[in-house]
Amino acid sequence: MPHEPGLRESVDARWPAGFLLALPSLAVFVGVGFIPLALIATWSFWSFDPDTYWIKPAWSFASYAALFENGRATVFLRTAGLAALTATASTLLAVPAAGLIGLLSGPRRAALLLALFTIPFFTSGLVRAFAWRLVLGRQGIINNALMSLGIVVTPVEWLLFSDFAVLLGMVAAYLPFAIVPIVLAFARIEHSVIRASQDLGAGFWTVFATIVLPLVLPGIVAGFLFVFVVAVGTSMEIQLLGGAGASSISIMINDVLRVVNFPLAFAIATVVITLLTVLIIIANRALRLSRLFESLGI
Amino acid sequence: MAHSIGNGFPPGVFSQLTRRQLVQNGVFGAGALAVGSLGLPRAARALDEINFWATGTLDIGDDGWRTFAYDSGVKVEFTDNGNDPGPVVAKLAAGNANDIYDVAGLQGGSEKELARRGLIAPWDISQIQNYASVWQWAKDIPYLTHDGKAYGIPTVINADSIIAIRDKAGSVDSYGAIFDPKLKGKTAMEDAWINSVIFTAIYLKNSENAKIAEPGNLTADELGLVMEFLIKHKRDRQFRTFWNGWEQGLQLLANQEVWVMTGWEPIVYAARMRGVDCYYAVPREGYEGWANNTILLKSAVVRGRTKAAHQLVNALFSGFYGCKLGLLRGYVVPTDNNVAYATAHANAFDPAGVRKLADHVKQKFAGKIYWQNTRPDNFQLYETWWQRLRNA
Amino acid sequence: MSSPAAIALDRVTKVYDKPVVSDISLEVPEGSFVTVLGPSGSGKSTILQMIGGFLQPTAGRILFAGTDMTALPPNKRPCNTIFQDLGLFPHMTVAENVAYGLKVRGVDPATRRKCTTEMLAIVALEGYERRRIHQLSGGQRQRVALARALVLDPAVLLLDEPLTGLDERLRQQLRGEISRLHRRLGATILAVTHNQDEALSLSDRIIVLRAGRIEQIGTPREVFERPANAFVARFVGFDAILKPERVDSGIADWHARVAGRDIRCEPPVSRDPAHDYVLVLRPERIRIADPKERSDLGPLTVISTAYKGRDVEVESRLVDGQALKFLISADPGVAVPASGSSIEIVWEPMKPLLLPDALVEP
Repeated sequence: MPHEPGLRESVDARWPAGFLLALPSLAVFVGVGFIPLALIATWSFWSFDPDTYWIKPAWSFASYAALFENGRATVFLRTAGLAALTATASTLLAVPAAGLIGLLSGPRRAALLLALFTIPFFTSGLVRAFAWRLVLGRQGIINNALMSLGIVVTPVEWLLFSDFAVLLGMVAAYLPFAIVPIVLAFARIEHSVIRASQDLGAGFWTVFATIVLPLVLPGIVAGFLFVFVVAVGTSMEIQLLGGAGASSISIMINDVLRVVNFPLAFAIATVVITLLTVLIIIANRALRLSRLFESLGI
Repeated sequence: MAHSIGNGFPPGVFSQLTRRQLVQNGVFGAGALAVGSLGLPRAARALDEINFWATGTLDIGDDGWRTFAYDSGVKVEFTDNGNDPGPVVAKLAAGNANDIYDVAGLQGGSEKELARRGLIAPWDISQIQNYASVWQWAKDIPYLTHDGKAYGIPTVINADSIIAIRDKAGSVDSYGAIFDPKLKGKTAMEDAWINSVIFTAIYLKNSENAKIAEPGNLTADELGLVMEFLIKHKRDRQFRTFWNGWEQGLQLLANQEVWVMTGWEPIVYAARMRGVDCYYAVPREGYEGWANNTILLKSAVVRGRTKAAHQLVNALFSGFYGCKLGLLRGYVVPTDNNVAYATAHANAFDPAGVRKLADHVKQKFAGKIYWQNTRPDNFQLYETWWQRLRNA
Repeated sequence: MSSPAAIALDRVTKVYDKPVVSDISLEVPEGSFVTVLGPSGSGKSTILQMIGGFLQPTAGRILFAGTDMTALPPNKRPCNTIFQDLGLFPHMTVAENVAYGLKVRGVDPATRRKCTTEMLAIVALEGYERRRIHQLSGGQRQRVALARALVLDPAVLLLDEPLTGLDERLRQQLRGEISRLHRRLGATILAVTHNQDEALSLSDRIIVLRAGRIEQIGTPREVFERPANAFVARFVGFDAILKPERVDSGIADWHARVAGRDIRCEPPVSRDPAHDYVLVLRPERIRIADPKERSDLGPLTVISTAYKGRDVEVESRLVDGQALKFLISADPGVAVPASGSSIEIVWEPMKPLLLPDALVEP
């Protein structure tokens, strides 16, 4: 192959140019994302100073040991479990909903349906969660209906201030987070692909299992992760709809900050962020979310 | 932080005012600026301006502050600090609150901590002439001073107990109702150890003869006793829920989700307006007294705002503020100047009503009072126990 | 009696707001290659989708080897479609794509592998088994789609605009490929296209469709040389059309009178009393007569000329006002007439066709 000096030079020249172009976004990433996280992680190894009510650079793992005391580890597990349950329920509801929006309706109706799903976001989350108290409460709509229909004599107590109420409130609040990425994934499926599958002998469920599901899987995973991450961070639904003193990681962080135990708060935050980052990286690797973009090349 | 205020400009009122207004404007929107610069008629003397960062219930509204400025010569820019002492302390310590505000108001107890960290400065009582009129028992609140200096000025005081729905809970005169098995699943407490732990301690001390010296400042053992008691009742599903904030507390009563709960007196008035026949119980164990104290931020001293800050606090006790706050929120400023002011301004305020409110609070404080304390000595231990309660 | 056709449409109609396919009957004999040729909107794609089972006819029956399968869903029909945009599965490898239909049918893995390998060899894609679709060229993708359908040995292979959207070189290559597969595998193929070249080069039989109705069924040669009417004629390239003043039938030739000249024509294939006749000619078969030559038609006034690469298009007008466009060679040796000049034209030894004028209606 003949030597092409011009080409070589341009390849070499592209390196520093590309690097320079990437610098601003790199700076933003480091400044906004990495540096605060690094500080939080560092301070989580410092100690609380009761004389100054502040932290001092006395290195210690005490805050991490404290994560396993007083049921704090339980809060982690409960929060993760609740978030996983919320994400699972949201995803299970979002797949058929997104399927209707993405596959069966035209683009205009799809936009309308999608907008309908996002309308709840125009009210504050606090108001939405609060509204559930009026629906699920002892004198709420559901109990009133049940009692006037003679199905129950006394109000059903577990409807409100229970894990059920929390789950319902969270699914209602975060369902759109699952629907949007799944709708996008559905929208990427070419009709001809589904037709081809039918044409080659696949019935409805075979088409769904072998074609639709694998193709929307990255969207489903993205939707699950969106809901999971938001649900891990929420406190509103738990405080408004949960039972006495119901907890979550963010409620615990607030409790801890209220008594200025900064190292412990930072340790909790560090663990949460680390675990979520690892989770997202694993999900991205395992399910190759980038495949979404490859398939656009067809 | 205070040193960076001039940003290289020579220190002076003008540059500081401008800067503060810019910060306010940027942080809190144009509204604050409009109130400060447009709404105020020119008074004969130059007005001192104070950025007052306090519990939202201390706000007397735009026209209230306008009259306040006429009377006192202090123009107040009020900002709600959210009331929760934890975040307020954090913003003073690690945030920019000390750059923006001159005077803050928050539930008492954190003065010692703030003073020790050099975030607040002591008041010079001699510069607050009206302080002489403050009711003695309010001046005697234990944690107003640190190292013999006055750091907290009790601006609003009240005594809290329990709210009960008459036809459901009957006549309640003890915190024991909260833990009464007959009311299982029909009671609630606040989702905050600051109030719920002291209520329980008051109950155990007085009705179950528990060895508790000071319910507002429990030792580790006392705290364990109180918390085990709470944990047991939580496990027994005694509590319907724990509530956070005004609306949630009110909704619990208004929709009769609970029949008895510890709570704030104004919730009773609001629930009555919603047609719920409830009352504020007079507990035989005594009330939880609390004070919302005014503190002087260190940076205000550095900026030369000390005199104006004292002028502000003095004006809070001069009568108008007490009358206005009582009218707006039913809260009491602990001075007889309120009654005097209302009598002198009978066209604006009802002297009998002002007196009645003052007497009502005085009446509560005539009995047993245990002072709320947002920073008990073992405050971090309170949190770990609260965490155990959450997980029980 | 011969065996029943691989596919037969029996008076099939499809109506949306208005009829898209009207009362169509056709047959695709076993082993043949039939092309439905028509402009866009003629209903050819609808026909293909009804055969494939993706659309239900409003009326009529669709029979596969004599069995009525009108009501069956796509996955129950003994045919496979190569869609215009192929519909390859992006999340599968080439081999998985080809084996898909076999897997759905429950064929065991060993057989699946064997059939897939064989079929990939037939479409010359050995060694591409593990590639993903996005790693293939356009032509390779077409061949995967062919292999994926053919591996199922369908009674009928349906091709939807098989060569549309490909560049010329690829088009020629694939045309050969399809033709070769058809001969080698003896597959029955029904293709729809709007491209006459495609239809002519591949098909045993062409069905010309217009607005949901069949205009002509015939071999490529029949359709190309003896179009049934002016619509078909124009569609297969008889773009020079003249309206005669009068038509006289004859024994060998018919005679038509155009602009005062008597023109010898081929007799019409079909007599259609509902329509007048028109004369149609292939524009490239017309040339300008030498002054001393006997012309077939003239005089004409040259309106304009336009250079078209291989040809020059001449726009001219007859003395009776009719316009006529034709092509002359763009060779440097052939003189281009000046605008406004008067010319005479020759088409001998060809004779114009005399056809029912079906351009206006329906």
